[in-house]
Amino acid sequence: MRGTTDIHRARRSQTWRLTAAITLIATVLASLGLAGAWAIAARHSGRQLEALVEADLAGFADLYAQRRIIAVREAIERRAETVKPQDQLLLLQGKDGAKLAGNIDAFPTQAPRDGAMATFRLAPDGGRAVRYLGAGALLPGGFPVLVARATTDRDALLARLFYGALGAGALILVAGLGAGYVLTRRILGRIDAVNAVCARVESGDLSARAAVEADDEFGALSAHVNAMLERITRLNAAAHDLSDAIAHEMRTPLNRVLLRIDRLRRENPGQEETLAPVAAEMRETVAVFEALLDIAAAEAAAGDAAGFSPVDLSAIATEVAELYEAVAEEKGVALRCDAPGAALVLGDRQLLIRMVANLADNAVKFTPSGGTVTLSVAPGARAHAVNVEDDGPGVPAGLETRIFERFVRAGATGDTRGHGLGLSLVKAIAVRHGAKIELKNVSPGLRVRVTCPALPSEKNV
Amino acid sequence: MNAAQTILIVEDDRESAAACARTAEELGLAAEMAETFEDGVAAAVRLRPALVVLDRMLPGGDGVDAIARLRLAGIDAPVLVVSALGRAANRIEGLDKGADDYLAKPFDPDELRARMRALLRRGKTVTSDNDLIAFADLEIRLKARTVHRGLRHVPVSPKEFELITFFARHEGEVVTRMMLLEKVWKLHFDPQTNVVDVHVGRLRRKLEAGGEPPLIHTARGEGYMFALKPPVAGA
Repeated sequence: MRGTTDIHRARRSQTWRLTAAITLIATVLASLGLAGAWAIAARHSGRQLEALVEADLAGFADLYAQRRIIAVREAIERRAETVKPQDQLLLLQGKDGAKLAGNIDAFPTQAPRDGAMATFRLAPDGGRAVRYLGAGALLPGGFPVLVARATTDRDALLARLFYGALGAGALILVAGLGAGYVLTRRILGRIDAVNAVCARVESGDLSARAAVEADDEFGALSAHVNAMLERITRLNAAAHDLSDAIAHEMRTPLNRVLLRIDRLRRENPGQEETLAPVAAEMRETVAVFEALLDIAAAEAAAGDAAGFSPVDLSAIATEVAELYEAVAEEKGVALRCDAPGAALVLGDRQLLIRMVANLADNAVKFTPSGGTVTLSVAPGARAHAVNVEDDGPGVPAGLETRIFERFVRAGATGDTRGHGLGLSLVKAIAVRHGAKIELKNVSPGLRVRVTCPALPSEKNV
Repeated sequence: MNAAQTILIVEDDRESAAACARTAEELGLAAEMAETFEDGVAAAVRLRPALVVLDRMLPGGDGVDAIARLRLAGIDAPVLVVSALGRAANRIEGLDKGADDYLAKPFDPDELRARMRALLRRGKTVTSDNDLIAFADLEIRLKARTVHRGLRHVPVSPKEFELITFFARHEGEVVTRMMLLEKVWKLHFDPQTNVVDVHVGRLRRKLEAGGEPPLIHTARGEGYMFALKPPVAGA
């Protein structure tokens, strides 16, 4: 299983594609070169054979010119005695076409008689057909003469050259691809080490660092990644300190204001009509301030797993369902919870409960009487999903992504309580946990799915 | 309440300290002040207070770190941390370090009063034994997890059982919604919807289903009180 996935991954790798492409180009070029060499060899050896045939014909013509047909006939007879027809064909015919001399009896039908070179096949003694290169001509007296040489040796040489070239091409291809595969695996191995660190950081472990194995480009990459992580960690810590400082600097004066209003209310019972709304307004402001601080804190800590512990999403869904069950019942909404097995994630229990509670709160709030809200947990191998589904009006088109922004509300009217920060906090908490959040109108209703990376099983102790 | 009882307020913010002192006086306690970490520890050792209200970001140190020092000095008075470090994580850290309760600034004076009173009453609830809490015609069996009014069995859900037990243990005290969320539901945030009110309402109806007199009363918009008679306004 692992091996096949390795191969699949290697196939998608850039290194692999590059080396494969280079190998293919090298193979094609080498093949072209070898094909050229082969063609030159073929042409050259063809010329040599032609030259021999031409020399023979010229020799016979000369002989005829000097000493007539008898001499030619003698010469051919002498040569025909020593030369096998498998190697050379020799034939001299009379004007009437009768054989005068030679090692074959009849003029081969495919052989030309006009002195032009031709290749043809012939089985000289009824055995295997042999390929010949030769030419037929008429001696000046009207005597047809044929000289041809078997191309067997030349063909064998060319075939050997051809297979040699083929083998060389295949060798280049195999060696190239093999080297590419080994190279790819090595590079993948080292890139994987860096990727593994990045994945750990993504899942919240900011303390992960890449090993700097050697002083090469990969070492440099690891060093850069590490330096970046150091910087993120420092910025994170700074953001934490800052938000604590802001919290303190704002909370203390807000507290004084609340306490002074309270004192005024006690000391001036007659002013209650004026002061009570001020106190209520102040409380609302504080609530918004708290919510913004919570969002900021969750955002500042995004990807930071400090203080996380194993938390069961199913237990959380059950708890939230229990918390909202009474409210739902009072509203005439059925609240169902389907959380079958343990779904452990690494997280902050309070934040995760708050996230699911905010989603449930919204769902119950927007579902009309007679509707249903379903909380469900779907455990998975790599990630667990929490679904909150309702059959309310859903989210207006175009608001699906904006709904997570601060102060954006789905209901335009102020008929429902809330400050439009609930979903922003949900989003911030999800991001803090490396979770993905999807919102889908399922007409009728809305389904929000939060997919949280599962706690790796080796930590399931 | 006993005149010898003292409440120690370790707080460097005057307004907050004054509010705590006023609340202490309303509860019939003498308020003593300290403004720094070391002064606070020294005052606690000297005064042996009935309750310590502790700020966190004090001159000289983090208030929650004083709790261990107090316990080492044999002071077992309940500690209420009142701090501008108000995130859930801060609260949990405070409770982990031994605080008996944790209130974030900015706070509602009513909330402060309810918390202080709950801490002062702590351990005083009359329980006949470890198993039974009885109040008027209400009987709560802790091991069997059953609730009766007189002879009538009141069927309650597990959460409602925890709720009625919490109320009974704080008989005569104002219990705020935030306290219920923190102590019964273990939640350190405020759900937007009035989930607590609805749960309490349901429990009330179950407790009064046989025509019995109400035991859980609404206290002036600040919370609830478990008592035979409704609370007097401003008490």
